[in-house]
Amino acid sequence: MRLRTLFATVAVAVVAAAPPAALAQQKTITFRFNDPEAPQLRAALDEFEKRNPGIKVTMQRVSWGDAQQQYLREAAVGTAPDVAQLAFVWPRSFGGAGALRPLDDLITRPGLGMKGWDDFFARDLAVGPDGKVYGVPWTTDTFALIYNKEMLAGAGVATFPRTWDALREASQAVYRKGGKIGWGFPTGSCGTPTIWFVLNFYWWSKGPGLIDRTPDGKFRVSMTPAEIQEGFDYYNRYLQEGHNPRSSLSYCLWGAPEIVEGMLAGNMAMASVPDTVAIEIITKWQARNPGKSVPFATSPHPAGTNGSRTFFGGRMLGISANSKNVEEGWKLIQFLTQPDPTFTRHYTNYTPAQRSALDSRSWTPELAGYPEQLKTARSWGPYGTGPVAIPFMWNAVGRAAGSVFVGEKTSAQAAAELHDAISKELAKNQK
Amino acid sequence: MSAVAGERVHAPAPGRGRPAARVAERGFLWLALVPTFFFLVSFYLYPTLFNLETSLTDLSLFGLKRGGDWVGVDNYVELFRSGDFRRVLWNTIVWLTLAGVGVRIALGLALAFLLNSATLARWRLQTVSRVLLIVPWATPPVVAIIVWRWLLDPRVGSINSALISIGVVDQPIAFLSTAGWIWPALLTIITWNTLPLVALTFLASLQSLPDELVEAARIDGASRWQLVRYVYLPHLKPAIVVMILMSTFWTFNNFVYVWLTTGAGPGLYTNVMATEVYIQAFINGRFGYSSAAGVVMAAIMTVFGLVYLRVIARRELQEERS
Amino acid sequence: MTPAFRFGRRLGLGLLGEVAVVLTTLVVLFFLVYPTAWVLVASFKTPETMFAAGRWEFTLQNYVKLLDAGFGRNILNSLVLCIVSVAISTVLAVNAAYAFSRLRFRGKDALFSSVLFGQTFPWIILVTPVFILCARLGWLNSMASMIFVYVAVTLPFSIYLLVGYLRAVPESLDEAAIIDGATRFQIIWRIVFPIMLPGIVATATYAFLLCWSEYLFALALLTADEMKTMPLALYLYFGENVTEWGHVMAAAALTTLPTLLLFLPLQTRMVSGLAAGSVKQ
Repeated sequence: MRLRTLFATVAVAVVAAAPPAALAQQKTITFRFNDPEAPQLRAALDEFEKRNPGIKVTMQRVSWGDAQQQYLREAAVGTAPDVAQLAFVWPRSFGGAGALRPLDDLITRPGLGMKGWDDFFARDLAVGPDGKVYGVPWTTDTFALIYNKEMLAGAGVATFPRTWDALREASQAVYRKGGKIGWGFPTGSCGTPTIWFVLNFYWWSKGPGLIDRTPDGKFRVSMTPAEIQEGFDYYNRYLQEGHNPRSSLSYCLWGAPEIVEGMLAGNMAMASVPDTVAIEIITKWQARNPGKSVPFATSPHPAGTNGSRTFFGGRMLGISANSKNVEEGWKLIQFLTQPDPTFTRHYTNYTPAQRSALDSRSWTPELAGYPEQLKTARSWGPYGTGPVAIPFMWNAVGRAAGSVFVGEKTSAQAAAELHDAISKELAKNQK
Repeated sequence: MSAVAGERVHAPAPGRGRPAARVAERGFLWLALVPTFFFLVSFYLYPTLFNLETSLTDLSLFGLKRGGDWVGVDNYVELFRSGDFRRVLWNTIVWLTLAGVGVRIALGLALAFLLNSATLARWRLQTVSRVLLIVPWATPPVVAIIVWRWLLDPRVGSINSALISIGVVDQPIAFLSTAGWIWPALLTIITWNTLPLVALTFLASLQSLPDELVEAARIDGASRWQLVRYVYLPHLKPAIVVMILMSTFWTFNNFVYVWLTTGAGPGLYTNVMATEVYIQAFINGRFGYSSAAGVVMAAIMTVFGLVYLRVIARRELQEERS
Repeated sequence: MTPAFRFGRRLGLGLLGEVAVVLTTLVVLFFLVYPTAWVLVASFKTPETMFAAGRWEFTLQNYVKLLDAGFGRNILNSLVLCIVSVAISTVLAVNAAYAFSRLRFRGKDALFSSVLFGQTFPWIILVTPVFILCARLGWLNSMASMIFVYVAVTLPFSIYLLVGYLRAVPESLDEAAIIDGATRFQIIWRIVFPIMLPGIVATATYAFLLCWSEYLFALALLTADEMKTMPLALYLYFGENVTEWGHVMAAAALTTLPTLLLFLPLQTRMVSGLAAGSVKQ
């Protein structure tokens, strides 16, 4: 009897003593990740938890269309998640809003990425208006043109066009040949229209684009209405000549089912998409046509006098201003920016936003256009660091182009109004 | 002052004096109304004040923490001066609300009569039609829009292939891309998704019509149209009156359908007030300006509601039936 | 023979007319059901072949993957939230509607109009202040606060709908009961309620479907995965680059189904209690 009591007392004492010690070190942090690859990230997070026994990570998810407003609302009342996946251009505006914690003291520590802070892309976009760093670029991607080799060859296009005019002619040739769609870019409107991207690719191939920085540090609108109009006219010709059908006005996103299905069914010859969508098209095609060789290939966009210019897109990671778990959050960020194991084993379809890591991802032959495009891609630069917010321009450009495409305004009119709106916004916000 | 005759005056039963009845009445009144108004006031008061105040500032989505600066009526002036304001109002009032509500009330009535008819009872179709009636309403709007976009697609959509095979048209119509067709297509989607509410409301009203009334009228030799006009419609009037009010409020303020179908485009072709508010608030980040637009919307609906209640509804909802 | 039955006969519809009515009904039902049926069928196709014309592949994987991802929890959340909110809202609305419809009191007009006032604002500008309020009160990620929100949001129109239905219930019934010494509450729930059942069913269905598909408030107030309601989970499958169509279609089917199942027993109550008893006007 006495021995049992002794045992019991000892057992209780041991049990009572152990958990508090363990619990004192156990911390739970929240990580918001908004892309569909949540299961893959969860696996990566499980490995992080194994390597850091005192930290547990709960994942949250908000759909991208609502993610910005949701985060800012939460930051205003102090309930934002510890670590969050952010759109590439958010850290600057979020930092200015006081929603993110400055990271200057943390980025100097060893263990960030393959070769430290200086190896990261787009660091200028991660800097807030006060000069402090608010985000860590995590993944990067860009758009390239995926095309159906057989459809183009059948229309007499042997090599993929490298100029804008040749691209339009190739698209028209496909349409003339069999009534199929050439380059079926979406011309519809929504919160984040594709036409913004392809218009900028066109403008950037010929100059600095809408916003540029002057030598004395000020920002200006660096395109004339005539230059803006040229872009509208270029894409409007696709609609007028019929090789991008009017039905493209009914969809808006670059990964719309109309595009994916069009490419898969052989109804569309070309599409401008990020690598995730290209992979989707290729994978689905292989599932429908087992054993056959894939008819797709990819190429950078046409080049102008300024080269072939797309943007560095992607995601950044940030720590919220109200986070009480900064150390743990930073450990997570360090972990996630290492190619191994996050990118090598789990998040495999994405490229880390670091120069050294660009070559570490292996691309299949069909996707060769992407690493080539990444070589000449440019940062948003003055668009992101300037006084005119990207969402404002994105929406204004999309609406202006849409009104031209649907026939409500002439391209000259729309270009003049757009130029006016952006100039006003710039003047209003530039101190 | 209140022209409502909701209570009959009758001789008090012995033992039940006036004072006791009045106390019981007041007690009931409090118990019936206080919980309701507790919810309403505590939920709507702060947001209303917030928006009224914000509409007079330049609060931005990025400045939620620090607040906005006072600008007075600048937001309202800018709103009324904006070139697109007239088009947005026109889209909202004429296309979205007037046409939308009109179509739904008319079709809802027709559907209710159809589902109430004896023929269906005899062929034992009543239960299945009532349950299937709910199906469009039970489908989430985003899913409804996806399916309808697929159906309306000029290349692969069933509607175009059906039209072509019947021979009505020989070229497919790009419904959501052709200026003249966009609004009808949008209204079709909205109607499909929300018609069951209207139809069910009217059906419920029809089902509560005492059979004796119909019987009596028929014995008197009423024809079908006379029955509809003198028996059914008067019975339905309160439900119709309420439905018009509710539908108008709900449609005028609606955001989801326009946004998910056309994104207020192409360009700004289908921009309505609610999408304008959304774009200004969450894309351009201008909370002050969008609150002003929201207040204007609320003002329009309030004026409409007050006029409607005073002129039409009071007669139907509060007066004694003769 | 019920008078409704005689309705058809009396009109001299004859067999041809009858068949026309039935055919019209079938056509109407087809239009009502076809889009959702399309979704249901699509949920059993693989995402790779879902939108392809012609051949398609049958699969149950969409549902398996969806439920693996925890969608069952979302449905449960939505069910509990909506049923409780609708129950509370309907009870409150019936009482309030009765008061507005039958009683006379000072300020009635103003109060009646004010019920609808909150609904004059578009919801998108109500979300941010409601969020701020709930956050300051510590009411985020809480079922109780969501119930509060949904009751407040469904009350106004429920009251108005029910006032409309109450017009059809003759007041002579009330008076008879008052003379017999009944309290107002007894009158409502023992006498008026059974007669008004079709209206109450319609109102409850409206309130339920409003809660069931509500997105904006749920988005702002529920960020923890295990608290999320069904519409939030559904929207998550629409990625920025890639949409997971398999999950979307399966989720859509699982969303539509509970509503139908809940409505099936309810719709039998759509027959009025007035048909049973009779009170001569």
